[in-house]
Amino acid sequence: MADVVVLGAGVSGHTAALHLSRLLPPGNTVTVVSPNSQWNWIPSNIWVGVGKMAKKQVVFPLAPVYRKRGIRFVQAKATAIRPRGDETSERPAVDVEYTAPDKARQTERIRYDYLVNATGPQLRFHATPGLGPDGGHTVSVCTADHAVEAAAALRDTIERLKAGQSQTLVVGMGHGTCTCEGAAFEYVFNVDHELREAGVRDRARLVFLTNEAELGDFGVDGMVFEERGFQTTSELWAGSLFRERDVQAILGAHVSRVEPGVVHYETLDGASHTLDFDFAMLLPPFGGVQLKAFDRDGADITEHLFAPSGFMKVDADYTPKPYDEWRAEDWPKTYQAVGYDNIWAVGIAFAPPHQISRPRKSANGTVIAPSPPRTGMPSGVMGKVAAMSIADRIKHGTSAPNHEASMAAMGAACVASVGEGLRTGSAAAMTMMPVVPDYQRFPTGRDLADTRGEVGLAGHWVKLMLHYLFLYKAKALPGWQLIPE
Amino acid sequence: MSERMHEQQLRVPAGSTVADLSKAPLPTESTLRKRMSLPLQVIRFFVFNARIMRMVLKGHSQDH
Repeated sequence: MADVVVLGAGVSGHTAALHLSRLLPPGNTVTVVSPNSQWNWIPSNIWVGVGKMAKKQVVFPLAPVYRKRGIRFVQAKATAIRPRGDETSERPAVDVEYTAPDKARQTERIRYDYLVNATGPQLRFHATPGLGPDGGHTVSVCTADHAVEAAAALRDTIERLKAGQSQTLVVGMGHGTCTCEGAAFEYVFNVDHELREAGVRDRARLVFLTNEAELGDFGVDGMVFEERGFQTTSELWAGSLFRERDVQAILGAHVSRVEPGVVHYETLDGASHTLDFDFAMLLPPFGGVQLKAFDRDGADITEHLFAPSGFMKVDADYTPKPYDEWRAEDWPKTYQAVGYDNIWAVGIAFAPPHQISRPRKSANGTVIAPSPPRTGMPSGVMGKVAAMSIADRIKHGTSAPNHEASMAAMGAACVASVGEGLRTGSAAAMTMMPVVPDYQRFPTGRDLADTRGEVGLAGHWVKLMLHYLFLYKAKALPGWQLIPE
Repeated sequence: MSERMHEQQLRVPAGSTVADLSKAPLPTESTLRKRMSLPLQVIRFFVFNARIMRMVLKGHSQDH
């Protein structure tokens, strides 16, 4: 009998926990440790952030789902991993600090046989002075609560526009190393739609401020599409949408600080600039959550398990090498932690071997390059793969082979709504296969048959379908396991 | 110069770092109509979902 602990209840951790509850024979236990009491379908935070959806439509309480699935739920944050146990026991353990109101700040040491680290990102607003909703001067859509605040700020901006004032709205990335450019892309076009619907678009200047050197990079080095017998690029495709909607783009920008109403940023040529704003939604850079690791004797072994970014090192090739030598094989396949065959790190928690986009520095040496995105589809697949590997080991012994799912062989869909309504909505819908380009297999890095970009009403329906489908799946309602990650 | 481009240039402050998108292709009226055409978009909906399912089948399980 084995005890499995899953740290985190986002897309990856929640998927792993649900599959473990399905795959493990009776007598084994699954425990989920998450500081949040609710599950959040983050892609729909965009709609909350423009006031088109209420918070309650994108979240639900985790406890009843876990109770139904026989999973123990610990509302706490993990603080340390002890992969070889401690002075009292050889059994590995994880230290947690409760966040549930009735047990706040109480601690517990939870023993495990298998551990899935799916702790997600630490939102590093502090990397840019003045960034973020908590003590900063910008809003965010990273959490449902942030999105509610963003919607209120946008509403105020629209009121000022209706009163005849001109306003500058800035949407984008709050640091040179941010990821999730697709989310900011989606938000800027949702804002554009809201402004048009309110009849105030002509008085608004809408600016997309991004660390991408080219539009359409999306943190994946851009894409090549085949269209009507020609190869075209995501840069041209995205540029068309920006021009059509009159959204201005500032590219290759690292936001160095934000003051009330002013963004300070550096561009790739090394020059410093300012941009005045009345409303700004800028995403933070991500890092790993601050987990420590200790050996049995209490020695700090954090650097053995984690990269300096705070993400956990797994079966990737972390050898530093120039962009031209990056290979698909560098990317992890099993997500098993380095040195520990009973720990997996999935979703945003694993350390990528390098970026996907071409690395760039400004003339001053400032890194201005998107970090690799790990969207819902790959994150869910990684969670499932870890669950399957653990289940096999428990059922067939520790020599059972790991299941594999490399981002260099896995596809992803990115559907960015750019308007709403079943008859009037629209979306920019992209699919890419694989996420990490493989230039050894495909001349353009990706399979042109599955790498596509299109704009239209159908994309909006897909986005809506995914919203309801994944909430259904996450609630573990009948047949949930038949819905692919 | 189109009216739309003229308006954009007026709103971009002098010395700005805003990218020049004047070469980006604008959709034609026909393309805009197709993007909202119900029969066509119903087909695109099923094609898009079929593509996602093909990616799922090809890439979600890479076990040997």
